Amino acid sequence: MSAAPDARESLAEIVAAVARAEGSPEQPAVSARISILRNYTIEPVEPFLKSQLYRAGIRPDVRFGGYDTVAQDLMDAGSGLLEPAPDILVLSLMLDILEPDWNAPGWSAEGLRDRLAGLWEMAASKTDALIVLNTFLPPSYPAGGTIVSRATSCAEEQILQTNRSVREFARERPDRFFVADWERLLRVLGEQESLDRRYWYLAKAPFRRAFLEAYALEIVKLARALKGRTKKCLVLDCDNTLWGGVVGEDGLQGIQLDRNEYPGKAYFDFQRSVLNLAERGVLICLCSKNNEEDVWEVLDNHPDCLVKRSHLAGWRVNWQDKATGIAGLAEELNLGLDSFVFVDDDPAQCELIRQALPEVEVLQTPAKLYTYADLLLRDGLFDTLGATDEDRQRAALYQTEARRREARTKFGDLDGYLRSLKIRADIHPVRLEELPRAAQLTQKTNQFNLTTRRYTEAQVAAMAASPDWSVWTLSARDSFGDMGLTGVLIARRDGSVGVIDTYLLSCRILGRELEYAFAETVMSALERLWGNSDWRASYIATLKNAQVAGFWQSFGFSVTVEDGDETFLTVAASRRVRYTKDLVEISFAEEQLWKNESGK
Amino acid sequence: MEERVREVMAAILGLEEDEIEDDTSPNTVESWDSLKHMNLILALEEEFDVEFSDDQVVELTSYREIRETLAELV
Repeated sequence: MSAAPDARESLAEIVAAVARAEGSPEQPAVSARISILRNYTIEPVEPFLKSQLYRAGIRPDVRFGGYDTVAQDLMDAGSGLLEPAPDILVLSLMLDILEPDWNAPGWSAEGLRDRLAGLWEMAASKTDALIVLNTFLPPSYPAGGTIVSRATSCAEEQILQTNRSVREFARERPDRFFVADWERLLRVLGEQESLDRRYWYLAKAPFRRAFLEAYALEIVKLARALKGRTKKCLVLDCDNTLWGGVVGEDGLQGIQLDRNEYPGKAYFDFQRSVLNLAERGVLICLCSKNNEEDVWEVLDNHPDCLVKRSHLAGWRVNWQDKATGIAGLAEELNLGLDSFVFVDDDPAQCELIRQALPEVEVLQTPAKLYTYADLLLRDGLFDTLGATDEDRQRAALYQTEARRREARTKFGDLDGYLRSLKIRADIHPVRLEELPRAAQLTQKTNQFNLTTRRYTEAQVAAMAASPDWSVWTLSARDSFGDMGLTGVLIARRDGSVGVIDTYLLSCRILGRELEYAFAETVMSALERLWGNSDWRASYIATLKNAQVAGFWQSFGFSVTVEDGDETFLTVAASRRVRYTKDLVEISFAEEQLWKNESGK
Repeated sequence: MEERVREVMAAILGLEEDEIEDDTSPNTVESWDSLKHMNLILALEEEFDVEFSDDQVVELTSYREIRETLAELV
């Protein structure tokens, strides 16, 4: 799945590989529809965009708008760019085409900023897709020279200011707009790697391969996050990965780990990037062939070891093979192996995992140790559309879960165990502040997810505001701690039928009967509210959600039609099986519900 | 070198290598449009580590011309 760190396919190989992938009868189950509206020649990005999407396990469906017809494309419903609805709309704009006189004396970007704002708003009104904007490239050589301090009126300053306003605009609308920051890509790659002035003049195609690949990656990161292909768990080897040297031989003092001096500093900086990921909600695990005490000695007592035991969601520090170790962690954390990234310095171990667990993304510690700090950040494997409070507390949540498992072994029967947990569920129509988390759950949840419909925050908000839709959340806690917002149910009213559009729970709260208690509470509330005579639901099979294939049958639903991967089920409200166990104490905010109803 | 030119042309234009002849050009290959031509030029530059001039970019429109120009540059 992962190529060797420095291997680079040629453009010819990439074009040929994409053509083969597109022609193959076997396509990824997940696809991303991406429409690119532009005012210059951006087509050279296509092979890189498609090849990266395939690599991420996503089938590309990429369309380009006409040359410099962005506004027309937005207004033309028949262009095929907005209908069927894209997942991602890329507005890709070159300053020189927007403003050919940008380098003339006295040029002001004010008019440009107004035009852009109008265009962005128009795009937002025409589609529910995530919209990707770009910043603009400042000139290589300012017209006024570089030795005098420049006036804010000079073109370079005007462009940099415009870029700030682009980022600000997106920051204020994080549910709709994202920025592919060309200014940053140019800074990282440099003009030599980024720009092809020859083709800019000949064909209005300004970018070289490195820039196109980096730009494509920004779009792919969004697609991954939107389609539930984001990595969630980072498994680290210890010796020569978390620190330099072998702790079992070199001892606590002998290993390389230092906040000031290289090579120890390279490992220190790597650990910093690990902690930054943990802060964003990535689960950190260890998988190392070592004596456990030796490893704890470093984590607990090394002054420059940033990764502590409290950061870990799980570990396999023993002499077992690592494939067994990682598979065990996946089971323990209730996560699919395809959400795992494994880092190890030993090429043999890396190859073993690639062979035994091909879904796991394997990264090898680079031979050039000084590039190590960027290893986890460069490809954005863990990037999500936005971090929520749940993300930041996740390691603690999983550690609590481990204590629960220990408690469970003390109880013979499950009900007795569940009662001892004193589970409390808080169920209510989605609140404004919960929208980001609710949308994120639709994007990330793969296993306990009946229909796997991915929604953006804007879409969830629109459903919550509609009188015919009802969006519910579940937050749970028990005597061990708070599990956070971990369930979403979305239903709509279709005449006298209640239709369950989406039902999902985060896998870490399963096995507590919450899946039944939540559905029961919402269905009986909606029956009172809507008075619907029937329920309709469906199960859409994916590679991940086989465990919920028979879920609605437990509420008395029976299958009406099977259409490919989708199974449609129905039950009369009066004949629905009611879940009546009292293992979960439910606090239910009904008053909120009536408020929504009266507001229509 | 000829073999590598054929490989690149075949991959970019979606042809079989043995379909490529001296006078293979945009006139004989339907898929050889201006965007494919750009990819072809960029792929050849990458393969042979050369940079064509602005004039060459426009003129290199047959297998023979590509081969002859590369022979001079490489």
